[in-house]
Amino acid sequence: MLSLVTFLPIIGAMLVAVMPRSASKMAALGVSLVALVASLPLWFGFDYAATAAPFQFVEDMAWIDAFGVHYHMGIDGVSLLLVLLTTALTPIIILAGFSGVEEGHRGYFALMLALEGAMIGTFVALDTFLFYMFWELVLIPMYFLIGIWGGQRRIYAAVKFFIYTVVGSLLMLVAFVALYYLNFKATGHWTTDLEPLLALQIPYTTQLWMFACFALAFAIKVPMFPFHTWLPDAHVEAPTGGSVVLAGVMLKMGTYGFYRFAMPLFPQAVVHYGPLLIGLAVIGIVYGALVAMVQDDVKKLVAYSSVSHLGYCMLGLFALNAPGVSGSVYQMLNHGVSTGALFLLVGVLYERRHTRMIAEYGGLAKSIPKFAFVFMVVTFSSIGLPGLNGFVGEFMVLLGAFQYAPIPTVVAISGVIFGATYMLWCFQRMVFGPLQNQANVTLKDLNAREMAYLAPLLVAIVVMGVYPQPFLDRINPSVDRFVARFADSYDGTPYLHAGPVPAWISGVVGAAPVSEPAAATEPAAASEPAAHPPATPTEHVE
Amino acid sequence: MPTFNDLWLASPALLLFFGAMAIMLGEAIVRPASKTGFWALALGTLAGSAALTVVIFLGPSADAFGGMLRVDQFGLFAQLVCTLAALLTVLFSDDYLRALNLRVGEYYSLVLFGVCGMGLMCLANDLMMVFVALEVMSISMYVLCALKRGDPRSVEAGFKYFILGAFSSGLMLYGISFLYGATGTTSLPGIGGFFMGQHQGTQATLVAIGGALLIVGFGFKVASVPFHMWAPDVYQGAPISVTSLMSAGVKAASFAAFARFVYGVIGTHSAGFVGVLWWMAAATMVVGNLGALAQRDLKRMLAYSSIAHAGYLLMALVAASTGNASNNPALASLLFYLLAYTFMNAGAFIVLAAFTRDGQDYTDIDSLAGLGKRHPWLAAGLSLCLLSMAGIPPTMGFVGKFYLFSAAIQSGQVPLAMIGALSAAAGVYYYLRPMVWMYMKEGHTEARVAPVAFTALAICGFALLAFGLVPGPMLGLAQTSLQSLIPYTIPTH
Repeated sequence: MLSLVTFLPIIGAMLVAVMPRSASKMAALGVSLVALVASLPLWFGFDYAATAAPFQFVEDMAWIDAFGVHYHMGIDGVSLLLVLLTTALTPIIILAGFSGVEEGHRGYFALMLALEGAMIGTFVALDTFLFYMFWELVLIPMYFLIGIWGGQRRIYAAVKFFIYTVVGSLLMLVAFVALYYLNFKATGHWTTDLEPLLALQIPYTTQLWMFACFALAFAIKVPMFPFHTWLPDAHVEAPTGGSVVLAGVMLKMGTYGFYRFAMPLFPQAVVHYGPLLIGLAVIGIVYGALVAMVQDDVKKLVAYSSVSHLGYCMLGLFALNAPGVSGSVYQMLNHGVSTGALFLLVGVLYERRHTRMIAEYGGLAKSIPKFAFVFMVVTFSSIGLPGLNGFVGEFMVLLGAFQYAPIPTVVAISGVIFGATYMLWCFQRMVFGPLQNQANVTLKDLNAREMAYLAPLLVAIVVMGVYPQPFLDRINPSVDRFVARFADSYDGTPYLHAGPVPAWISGVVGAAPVSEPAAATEPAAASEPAAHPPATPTEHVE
Repeated sequence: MPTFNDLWLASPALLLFFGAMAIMLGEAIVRPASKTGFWALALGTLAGSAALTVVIFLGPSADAFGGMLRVDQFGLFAQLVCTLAALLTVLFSDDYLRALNLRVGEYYSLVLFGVCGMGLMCLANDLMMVFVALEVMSISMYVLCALKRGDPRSVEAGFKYFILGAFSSGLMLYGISFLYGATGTTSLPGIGGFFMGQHQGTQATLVAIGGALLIVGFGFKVASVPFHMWAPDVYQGAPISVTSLMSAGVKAASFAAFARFVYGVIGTHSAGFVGVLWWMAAATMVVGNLGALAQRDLKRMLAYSSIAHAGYLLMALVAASTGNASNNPALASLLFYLLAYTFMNAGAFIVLAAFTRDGQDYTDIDSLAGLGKRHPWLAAGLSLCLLSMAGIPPTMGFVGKFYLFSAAIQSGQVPLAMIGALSAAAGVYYYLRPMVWMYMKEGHTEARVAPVAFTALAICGFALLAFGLVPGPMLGLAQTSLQSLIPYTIPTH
């Protein structure tokens, strides 16, 4: 089942690549729709009872015996939703690519489908080797999409994107291999399968450097401040479809990597680095929002807003409690839908006017009212207006994060305000005001095809905002399991808490030398906030 | 007197030798106008030699010629890699030489002599044999490099390679004499046995000097830092097909002999030598990858890339001599990587050779511009080879790198693996650059590829993907081959 969903687009990509040019558009759309249909049984067949198996639709067989590599796929609630996000966004992107891609349609659609398959692969792989394979495979189509169909500085952006990711992933590979060897030493078996590796007891100091390698790879992908600089370049230069995939799905590979690999494998290191990563997440939220505010290129504005939004995802993940992590996952979906829609809208404008400068627009509400309406809904979704999807995720993230790190969360909340500011200001400058520029007067409003691909996103924005329960139902059991992994290493005390050194480390390993580094690191985290009143942990909210 | 079994075990090399003689005599006596007959003969000889190697591979390991050759699966695997490199090279040589207006029969003769030397070098179990095989291989290569007599770069390449190569051979011979002076033998097991014991005074000094000189000699042949200076000039000046053979075949043979020396003789006993190798590996990976960043000439870029790959392979040697000898996969990863390198290297050079016309090579990166539109299959082939060199899945290069790095980490060489990973990340940039030209720039350079050469490219591409997706059988083969290799020094721990 999962293999089908993963490889259907890849096989489709090969077919589209050798098909007559005229048929490639419809064929690509057809393949992506078939993939969407094929992925629907995952949603309905997924058993989200708390007693259900953690991973479902599992496929497991030996692949490379010499390394103990398994072809092991399976999904939990989080990967389920990310897979569906991917399969749902791809037909939209392909439909959007019917115009705007000037030449080489065949290659464009084939790469887009290959990208879809590779991304699904990263979300379903439960073997580190298989995961790494898909993880790297994603780079190649994206590199070509940016480099061939991108804007003026496309080559620079494509190479920068590739190099940034590869640097991180090679370090991740070293850590993977070290983990693989550590497991062999402990158990006598060579295996790259995630499940046995999760059972491994890793010494504290080893966890620290391994987690650092993983975290770097994933942080670049997310991207977290200060590794975000490739993102604005890639986003701005990529063709519309590329930007949508990049924002909609590919960035989630980073957060998903944290969720699936980096954090569960190294729980103690997570607690150790938690303050640092939360700090970076909060800086990313505020910094991304502030930089977005001063952009005069609307695509760049949306790109920086991604930095800010992904900061919430990271903040929620590292809150290490159920509302935070669930909110983070929900925020990943929201960001995929809303930011994807924003990039599509920017693409619609760019196709008509060939400019992305905010100053070039104004008064669009008068000339293209349908567009203005869609833009409005998406803007509200992006700033987290209650009743739309963005609010649910943001609220849960902040709720969760407040229990863990109250002060940084307060700072992060300012990002919500900045977020509203830059989005609304941008919206106001583009949509309202006098219709001065003659070129805007004669603009054509959304046509049927554009309505067709934007409508599902609008529906999703409203449904996910009003009725998040079906999504959360599927997320929650997996999130509870995820949070439980930290039960031994983290006792729920807020990290900016000036109490005595909590013995979070002793639980898992219990060995004497392990407690020393823990004691050494704790005062660093605890010393600073002594002036603030210790916050009492609030009740866990389900 | 050699027995029949000796001759049988050496038959792949002997067949090549006779093939080379036949072509040389044919060229002198018959002087045919078309050299395609020689091409076919060379191809047949190589294929026959490969077949013989496979048959011997399936048999048991044995010593031949009174211990001069050690015919084990490890050596035979490496020999097969050398033959394969030559086969792929010869496949595109006929059309390439025609485009170069350089149709000479002795080309094939020299290639066969070279491969004969390579094969023997993979099996050599005595330093004298190593030296003789190395010379047979090298002298053929010196001449091949200078084959384009009218082109000063080619002559420079041959001359430079010859001078430096002769110098390093001299150093190696000097080292052999030191080892002989200290131990009274030139056979690797004999010297290995000596290394096992504890020695003091003059003997220890002699061994140290001898071992160091041998490492210099091998270091030169595999183009490792700091003995790599010749490689970019020679690779750039030599005809493309010769560069292809040189970078894969010579490297495989030299590494096989180097591995026998490092694993068999130095083993885990000489921390000093291992330290030297460690620094050589680290420096080679870094210099190779950084050096390639600045190149605009593709042959020169591939030369630096070849240096970088030598660094990865040296890392395997370090891992082989530091890890636990009984289940150390380092040398199996070396074999697997050599095979992968042979495919990706040959594939890249085949595409480069497609630009050659009117006696002129066009290897500047600008010749690639627009190739993706005009020749999508050539561009796809080159991209695949480059991605494999960069170690991007799902290619064979990725599996090879994974194997190499995991072997290094298993031997506790985490810092070296880190250096390797970071320098490989820098390397990704220059492997991507040709793709930028091929797919993202416009250009009009002509490219023409003959069906035979294209077949060779297709074989490379297929192998890179097939062994990338289903590497199991080949990995198993490499691991089995390793088991035949006995360290002459039995680890004490």
